[in-house]
Formats: sequence, C-alpha cells, structure tokens
Amino acid sequence: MAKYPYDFPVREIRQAISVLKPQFEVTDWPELYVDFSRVRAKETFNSLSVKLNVIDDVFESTNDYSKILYTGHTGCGKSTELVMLHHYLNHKDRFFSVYVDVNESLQMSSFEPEDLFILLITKLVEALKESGVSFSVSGLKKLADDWIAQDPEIVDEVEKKDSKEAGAQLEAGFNFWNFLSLKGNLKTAFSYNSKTSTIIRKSIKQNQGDYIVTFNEILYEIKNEILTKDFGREIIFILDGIEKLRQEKYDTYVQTFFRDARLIQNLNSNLICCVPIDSIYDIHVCSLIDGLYQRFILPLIDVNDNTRQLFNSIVSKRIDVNKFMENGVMDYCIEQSGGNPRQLIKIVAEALSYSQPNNFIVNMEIARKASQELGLDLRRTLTSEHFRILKEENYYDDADKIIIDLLFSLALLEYNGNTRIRKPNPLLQPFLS
Amino acid sequence: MPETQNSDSETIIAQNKEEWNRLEFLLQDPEPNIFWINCDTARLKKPLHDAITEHFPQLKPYDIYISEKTESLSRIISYDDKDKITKDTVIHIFGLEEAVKSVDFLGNLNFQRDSFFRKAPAHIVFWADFDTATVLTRKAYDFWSWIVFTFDFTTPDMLLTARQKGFIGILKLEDNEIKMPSKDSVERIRHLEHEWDEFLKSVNGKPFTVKQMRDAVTIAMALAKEYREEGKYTLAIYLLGRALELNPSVIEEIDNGIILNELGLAFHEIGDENQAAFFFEKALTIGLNIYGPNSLDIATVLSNLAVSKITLEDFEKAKELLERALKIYDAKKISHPNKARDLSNLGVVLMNLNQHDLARQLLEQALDINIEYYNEESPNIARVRSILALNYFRTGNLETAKKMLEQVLESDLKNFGENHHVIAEDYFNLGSLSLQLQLDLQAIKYCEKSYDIFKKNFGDNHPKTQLVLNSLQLIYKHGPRQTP
Repeated sequence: MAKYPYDFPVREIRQAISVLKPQFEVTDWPELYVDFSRVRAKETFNSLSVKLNVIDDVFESTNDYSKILYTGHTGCGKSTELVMLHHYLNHKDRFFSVYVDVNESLQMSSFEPEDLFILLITKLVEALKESGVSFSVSGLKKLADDWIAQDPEIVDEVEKKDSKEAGAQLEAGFNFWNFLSLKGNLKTAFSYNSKTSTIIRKSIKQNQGDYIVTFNEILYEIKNEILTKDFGREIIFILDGIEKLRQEKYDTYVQTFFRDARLIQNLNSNLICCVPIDSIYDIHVCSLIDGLYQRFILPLIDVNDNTRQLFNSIVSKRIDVNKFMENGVMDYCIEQSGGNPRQLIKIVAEALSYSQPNNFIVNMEIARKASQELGLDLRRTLTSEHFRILKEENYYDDADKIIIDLLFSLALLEYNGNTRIRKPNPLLQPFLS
Repeated sequence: MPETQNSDSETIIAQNKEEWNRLEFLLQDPEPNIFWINCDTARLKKPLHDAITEHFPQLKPYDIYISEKTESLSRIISYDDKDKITKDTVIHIFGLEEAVKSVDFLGNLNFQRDSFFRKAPAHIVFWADFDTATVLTRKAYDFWSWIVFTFDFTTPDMLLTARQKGFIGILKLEDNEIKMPSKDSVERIRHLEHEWDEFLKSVNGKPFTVKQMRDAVTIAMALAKEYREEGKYTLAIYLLGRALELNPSVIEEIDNGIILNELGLAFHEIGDENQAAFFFEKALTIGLNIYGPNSLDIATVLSNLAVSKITLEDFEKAKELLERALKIYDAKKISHPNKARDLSNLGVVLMNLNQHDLARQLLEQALDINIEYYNEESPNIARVRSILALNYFRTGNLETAKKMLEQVLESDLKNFGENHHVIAEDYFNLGSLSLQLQLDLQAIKYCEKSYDIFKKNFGDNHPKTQLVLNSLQLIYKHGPRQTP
C-alpha cells in the first residue's frame, strides 16, 4: 500500500492526530526515528552489536552463535528499535537478516513450540525469495517430501490458496515451501487443526534431533549461497512478537525457550528474540536464562537535561510543536511521559483531542487535563494494595508478584543505570499524595 | 449537522458536552480512529449510539454484538467484507462485558492488536464500562496500550430508570449473581422481531419445512434470550415453548439443552422456582450427554440449578451441585468471575448450613478472584464483601462486619449514586448491624435513609420497603438505647 504523502512535521490537525496514533507505522518513515543510543547508558545497541560480534560495523565469524533474548517495557520502543536493528544488520559485511513479525505470520493463540521450527524455515525461504537467492536446497525438499509422504492431502491444504499467485513451476517439495512462504499461507495452515499443522507438529515433536540436523544442513547450504552472492556473512533471525506469549500462553513460551530449548540452542544461526518482560523477573525462568541466552533489556530513559531534547524530537519530528503547543507545554508532557515514548505520544494525542475549544493549540491547562485523564485510566487498574506499595518509597525492588504486576502495567517504571531505579509513573502522582 | 430529534440524545450530549465535542471531532476524521466509550450505565449506550447515528448520517452504523462465546474479533469482523464495511462505516462493538470473560478472547486481543488497528478501514467504537476497561488493562494490556481515545460518558438522571436485578444483601439470601442493567438489546430485539414476523408471514398457516423449523428455532432462541435479558419473561417463555413444540427431530440436541436452560432462567426470573429447577435439571441431563461431566457449559447449568435449589431452600442439594461446578473449574485450573460467583453462592449455602468458617474461606477466595479481575470499586467486589459482612455478622464479629459494609456502601455510592435501591439495601444492612451493636440512633438514621430510597424506587407496598418500615417501627416502639 502506498504511503500517505505526509510532509513532516505536519501542520494540519487531522494529520497530526493520525501520525500520533499508536498504529502509525513509524518504521515506514526513517526520518522520524530518534536515536536514543547515546543516552541508553550501558545497555546500548553498541553492546548488542558486540554481543553479536559486530565490531566496527563488520561481523567477525566465530564458532558460536548468539542467542539473545531482548525485552523491555510496553511502549519503550522495542519493536521500533528492533526494526532499525534489522535494517542495520542486514548488510553484506554483517548478516543476512531475517526479520519475523511472529504475530503476522502465525496465529499466536494456537502457537505450539514446534511451530517455531517451521516459522524460521518459512521466513527464511520468504527472505531468500525477496532477495532473489535460490532456496533449491536438498534439505528443504527432503523435509517437505517427508511430510507429504505421511499425508498427500497436506499439499492440497497448503497449495489450494493463491495458486495463481504462486505461479512458479517448482518440484513438489520446493513448491510446498514456495506456497507456505506466500503471505498469510503459513498463518492459515497453522491457525486451525489442519492436517498440515497436525502432521508437521507431530513429526517435529517425535524426531526433534533429526529435524535439527536437517535444519542445520539447510542453513549450511543457504549460507554458502548467501556468501557467494555477497548478501551477508551469516544468517540472523530477528523475532518480534514472541513477547505477546503471556498469561495463558506463557507456559508455551517457557516450554519453547527454556524447558525444551534444544531447537534454539542447537540452531547454527544467530537469533534475537523479543520475549515477555515477565520472564526476566520470573525466578523459575531467569535462573535458566543465563545458562542458555544472552539478555538485553531496553530500559526506559530518565527524563533529564540530557534527554529532554531527544524526547522532544519524538513529537517534533512528527508534528509542528510550535503550531500545536504553547511554550513550555511540551516540557510538561515529556515530564509526564516518565520516559516512555508511547506514553508521551499518547499524552500529546489526548491533549490535541481536547484542544478544539482553543483552536487546536494545547495550553498547559489542556495538557494537564489530558495527563489527568490518562492518569485516571491507569489509576483504575490499581487495587488498594497497589496504592499502598506505590506510596511507600523504596519498597519497589522486590520481585513480589504484585510489584512485577505494577511494572508490567507501567504503574511503576524502571530506568537506566546501574541500580535500575524504579519510580511510580508520573501520571499517578496526583493520586499518591 | 442535523438537529437531533431524540430528546434523550440531546440530554446526553448536553450533559457530556466536552466528551461529545471530542467524539464529534474525531468521528469527522477521514482516517479511521479507534474509540473506547465508557458508559457509567448500560442504559446510556443506546441513546448515545443513536446520537452518533443522527449526527453523522453519512456514516453507516454496523453494529456487532459479541459474547463470552466470541473467540476473537477477527472471527466476526472481516475487513474484507466490502458490502458491510467501507470507509464510511462506523463499526460499533457491543458486548465486551461478556466477551472479556473468555480467556481466548483476551489473548487474541493482544495477539491481533497490530493487524486489527492498522488494517481498520473504518472507525471502530468499543462500547464498554469501567469494569471492562479494568479487565483489559490487566488481562490484555498490549491491546489496551494502543487505545488512545477513551471517553467517559455519564448518564443524565432522567435516564436512570434501569433497575438492577439479582442483588443479594443481608435482606434475603438468593441468587447472588450480579446482573448489570440489560445490554443494549433494543436494536437486536427489533431486528429479531422483524425476522420472527417475516418467518410467520412466510409460513402463513402452511406446514413447516425442515429448514423453516430450524430457522424458527434459531430466531426464537435468540429473541427469547433478548426478552429475558430485558425482563420480558413471559414473552421469552412463550417463544421458548414454541421452539420446543416444533418437531424435535429437527432440533439439534444442543439447542434443546439451550432452550431448556433459557426456560429455567426465565422461570427463575418470574419467581416460579419449581419450574426453573425442572427445566435446569432437564438441561443438565442433555448437557451431560453432549459435553460430558467436565465441561464449563455443565458448570453453568449446575450453577443455575444450584441457585434454584438455594431459593427452594434445599441447601444440601445446592451444596452438592456447586461443589460439582467448582470441581470443573478446579480441574481446568480456571480462576474466573464465574468461579467466584459459584464460590460465593456456596458460601451462602454453607452459612445456611451453619458452616460459617468454611463459608468465610470460600467467600475470601471469591473476593480474591474478583479483585484479580475487577477494579477495587467494582460492584462485583462489593457484593462478595456484602456477603462476607453477613458472615461476620452471623459469627458475632460485628465491628468487622460493619467496617466491611461501610466499604461496600462507599463503593456502591460511587457506582450507583444516592438513590439506587442497592444503596437502600446497604443502609438497611448497616442499620441492622448498628442495632446489634446497640447503636440505635445510628440504626434509625440508616433505616430511615433505606426506607426513603426503597419507597422512591419500589413504592410503599414492596416487601423490602415493608421490611425496613417494620424494623423502624420496632426500634421506635422499644425506644432508642443510645444517647444522642
């Protein structure tokens, strides 16, 4: 779909509302990106690059493959940063980077651990097709042929969709992957109890070791092809969306990444995966993380003199702040954001929606009202026990479930720095006195 | 903008001027927006929906009703359905209060957030209340974090006529399931009645075909449910009876079970508890055949039957039924407001069987579940506290009971306002407690307030008004024991 031709920073009120919505795809507009790396203390993307063995913008091959769990608070900019990282890493001197929006590719409510295997292969095939790299490697054909031999009907299930679109005259096994990698086909095939999903999941579960060997053979062949074509020095998978496996699906996440982590751990490829922040605080999981993964937490950034201008840029790159806001109002909104980019954008969008009586110019009174409204929404989620904890300073450091809940709901915010300071969300301040 | 012809709409707009102006501005946006409208009473939704339709005739409303059975929004809204959804449509989503009881639904809200928001071809309005918003903030935070435009609309006093049903207080032990005022079913009823009329016209005395009979059953079931929820119990019973009369060979057994359960509910509402129990038992038998003993649908019917048995004062039977229902939740490791409802019902039963300590444990469990699901000030929490207070009251822990009832009153005042009959019950409960604490003057004060509100709501002859009046007369007769 063609992008709407915004002329940033926008000066028209309806456009301003549009570009401040959470669903506005900021990654479509690289000029709107605000680089916080220099103020992210030790947890910078430089350190992430080092973890991936990218030094001076060049990847140096090693015998190890990095498996990194990446997380952060809701709204702290995880996905935006991950997309930017993908664009950076996807370079001939670094990686052939396969970015996977898991949510777009699979029906998350029916996600099973085995799905990760087929997801990675399918997205790899998709990326190869996009780059014009051949995926005619014997391992892929062998995998598909094995499944098709178990029940030929799975060919019909996968290929009956969009057969015109697929077009290519490929051998049966390759065609299977070709169809599966077409937009939406993988999600459809795995969104209900289809024969395809049943057979594939069962096969992988029963013969996991064999599948890992086959997958690594496939990766080996494809890596050679990528190196020959100078598309990168290694393959990296970047998975966004796994962090949504929370609550009822949290156990599936733990199963996939910890209790039965063989697939990921033995995968001869690098991987960055965005995971639920709960797991970082979950005593049953965090003890396993260090043995299996490197971790990277994208922290919130404290609002101070060094960072205020960067926060300002998040909004001022999108809308003409001088046109829509009176002097000093933006600073107030930044303070109220608590260092959470999404919260900042929400405050400004909410304030604009209240600004009609003032000719769409947000003054301090309107900003306070917007902030109060969002604060009330947040307050509504809290119990008296939550309030008791929030009112007691220096009582936020325990890993009690109730404190973790406060962190997840953004009632408590955790910041940069060696001590990982936690503070109540500024939106709640009026209710804490 | 055309002048609205609807005085309810005008009153609502006048009372919520600022929120309405925001809504109006954002609805004029050519780019789709997502709206979350919190209504303080369900009564408000219909006229506010009408106001939007009247003020924006160019935007075609597309109303969608979801329920506890809805697994995901994408299953019921297809953005590809160009006949129903264009950029000039407003998609109104009702029934979130029920849908958020489904774990799958909540999970899918999170999972489908990006595609749901980013691909929306038209404005979408979620119609909900504060409790539902609270559930989403706790259980579907990813989804909620993308909701920017929230609106809080309040109901003008003149519209506050909806009567809440099913309240349990100290006055009388009965079904303690909380039934919020009925959903905005006027539109659905109109539509279904039209379909039913069309069906009758098409049949016009001729023998039914199999397909017609199946259609008739479907319409009758849907319409009867709406009638029951709107308090039109006789109509519901009539329609369900018609559905049952149709040739049983064309009715799916599962539908039979649903019809029988609906009949039980309708009879329960009109107070014919023997009939209610009769139909619930039949529904249970069918349900067990279809679903087996461990299904959540069975838990629901067991729970309904238990309420009937409580009303019939067959506490032993009610206990057995509720224990069976709770075992189903436990086996599935489900912690859910429906489980809380059954726990508190069982608490009530045990109190009647003089097992107060065990009852208190169950009530505390119920309270924990509701606290997990709802906001601290939710009526659902207040109701369980109210029963817990009764437990304390009966075990002689009067001060704790009083403190708890004061909490209940505070919360109910915020939710229902001064003149709601729930407040009258709270005042009466506090009056009864004050009397036990020998604070007769306080008791008089509470009971007088209670009497005024009951009288205003139900009139002088209602049993609750009479009960409070009798209590007051007794205190007056013996003279207050407390010095002013």
